[in-house]
Amino acid sequence: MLADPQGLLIIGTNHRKAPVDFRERIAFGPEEVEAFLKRAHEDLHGSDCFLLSTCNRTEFYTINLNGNSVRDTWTLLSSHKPIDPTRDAENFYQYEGREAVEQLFRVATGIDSQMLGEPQILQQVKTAFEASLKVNVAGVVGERLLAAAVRCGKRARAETDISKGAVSVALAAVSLSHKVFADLAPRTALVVGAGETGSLVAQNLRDHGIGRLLVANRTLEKARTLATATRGEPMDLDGVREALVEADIVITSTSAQTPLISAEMVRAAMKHRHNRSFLLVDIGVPRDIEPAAGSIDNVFLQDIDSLQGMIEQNLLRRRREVPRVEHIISEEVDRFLEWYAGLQVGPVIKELRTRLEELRQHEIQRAHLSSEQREAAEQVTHGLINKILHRPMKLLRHSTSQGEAGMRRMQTIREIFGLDESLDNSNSEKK
Amino acid sequence: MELAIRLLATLLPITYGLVSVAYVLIFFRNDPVARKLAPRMLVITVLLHAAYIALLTVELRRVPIATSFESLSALALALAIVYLVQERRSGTPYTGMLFIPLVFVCQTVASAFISPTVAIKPILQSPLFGLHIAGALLGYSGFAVSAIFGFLYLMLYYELRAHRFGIIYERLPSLEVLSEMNWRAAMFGLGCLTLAIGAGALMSLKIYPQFWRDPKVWLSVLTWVIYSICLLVRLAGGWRPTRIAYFTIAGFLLVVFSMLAANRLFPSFHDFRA
Repeated sequence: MLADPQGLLIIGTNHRKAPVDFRERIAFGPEEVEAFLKRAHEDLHGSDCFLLSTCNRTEFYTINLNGNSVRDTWTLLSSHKPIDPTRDAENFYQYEGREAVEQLFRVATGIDSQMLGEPQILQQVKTAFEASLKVNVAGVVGERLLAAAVRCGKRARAETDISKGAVSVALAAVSLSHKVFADLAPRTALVVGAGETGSLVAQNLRDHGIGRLLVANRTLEKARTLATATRGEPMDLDGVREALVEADIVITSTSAQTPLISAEMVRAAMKHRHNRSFLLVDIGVPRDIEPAAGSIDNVFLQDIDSLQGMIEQNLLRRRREVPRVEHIISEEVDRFLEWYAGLQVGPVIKELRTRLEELRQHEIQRAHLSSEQREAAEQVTHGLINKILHRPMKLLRHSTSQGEAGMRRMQTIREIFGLDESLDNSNSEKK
Repeated sequence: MELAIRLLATLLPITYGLVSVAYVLIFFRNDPVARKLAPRMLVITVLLHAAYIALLTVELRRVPIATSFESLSALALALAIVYLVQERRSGTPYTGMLFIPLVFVCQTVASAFISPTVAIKPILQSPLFGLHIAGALLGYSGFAVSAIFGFLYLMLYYELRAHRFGIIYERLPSLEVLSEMNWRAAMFGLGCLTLAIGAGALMSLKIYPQFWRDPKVWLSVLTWVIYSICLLVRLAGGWRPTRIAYFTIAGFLLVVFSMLAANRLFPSFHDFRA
């Protein structure tokens, strides 16, 4: 069992722990973060600090090396936000040591998010990491911990399907476009309906690099507003029939009571399209496109039910990936704790002695000496190593009482003597 | 050397089998270990396969592509190389689930029936014969690749039409990419087959003046006609990608038949054993 990182503490809240009005109250705006981190670093006597504040969570991490108590951290938080540590305790979670590391890694992989596996959280962790680095409050352990969290998040996304597949209607509609067409840049999309869903779809299509975007709406003014926001071309519903010939993707989300696009209109358009593939996505209820259009060759018609089916399937697949992500988290936590254990004075001293002893033995064996020469060499090199080690050992023993500075010193010694590398590596570098 | 040839003939189906399992794991489970190992294992297997063909060439004192099973082994190697190149270019390993098992089957059949002691008719050691065989093999590889992409296209096409968004939807590239690969590979195959038929006809005018009576010639010309129809109609904009996919699959089945079965069912001069 690896040693817990002493002093690592996280106090936080998220969508499962507190209602939205409470989360809003204690959230930190981007402009507040740096000032808070500086203040926290001062108040907690130079401890490593890191703050993650998104729409669904606010988490404060600190690595207390200087004898601060948990109560000090609560005091700090309540001096910045309207928090009563006693009354609001049930709205928070608090983890220490290994559990705190696990929590950060769970957040980075997206398995702690409201939308399981959401991809944005990793970027948010990186941004928060950069804020700590910018104001110089991350510290040696904090830097390593945050870099490990980012690596863990990347691994989860690369090695599992935790972030795969669209899980919102607007994204599902766009993901279908990518399954039919290789590249959206040379394609034209027609969005029919400029309401909330239509706006989201149009924005997503623009974000995914659609070449040309047509926006049709019953009220031309509304179509114009959305078209301006998404660099599209506005039109009224009378233009839809003609637009079907040009568009490769049609996404409809109107509240019309009868279908706006008939199978006959699609059939007529296909004659002019020279059999180019045609993707129709109907998000409207009642439906905007006649279902019979889906039976025309090379026409791919999807409605709200099929999109919902896709979303449910993607969520199910993500849920199935959770154990694999947890396995990655466990590996990365062990890896971090192994590094952390190496920062303790005892193991560093032991490793340093072993490393130099290995080098000494290695060089003596390479020298092809007679037994008398070997004996003399043994004596000389022993003495030499003891002399070389004298000062580093003294400094190391003092490191325990020097908090962050001591940690930095231990890390520097590890780097100088290559304690994180194998002997073969260091020998080959020497050659 | 004979021992090494035998050893490799036994080893290749095993290694291709293991690589096939790895690609199946990648497709269904996106297994990280398989994702790391499969491409490396495939490169090693391809190198072993190339060594096998080189040893056979030295042992037989000719390029081993004169019999059906020798050709099948060369075809398996060509397919594996084509797949490796395609995987490097596209960056996605998911189509390997269909390619590599096909390579495994080809090499297993070749390893089981290949006979390294067979000598060929001396007259067939001309450069035109080499061009004929190389063209045919590259052409067949192109048709095989085209058929695989055609099959994948149809799988995704019907999944989308049936509103099924399972693993096939998740893993395969877009319909446009599949259709383009289906088409390009078929056209590459057609170009090579044209070369093979041309070289074969030129050579046969001297050796087998009655070559046009040979069933394998008929089957090859029929294959050529099928793919040429595909080319003409597609260029005229008359066919949908689904029909082209079906045609290329049918064309490849005809290729397999003409490669393996035709020699056994009908008398043919396409048996080059002395």
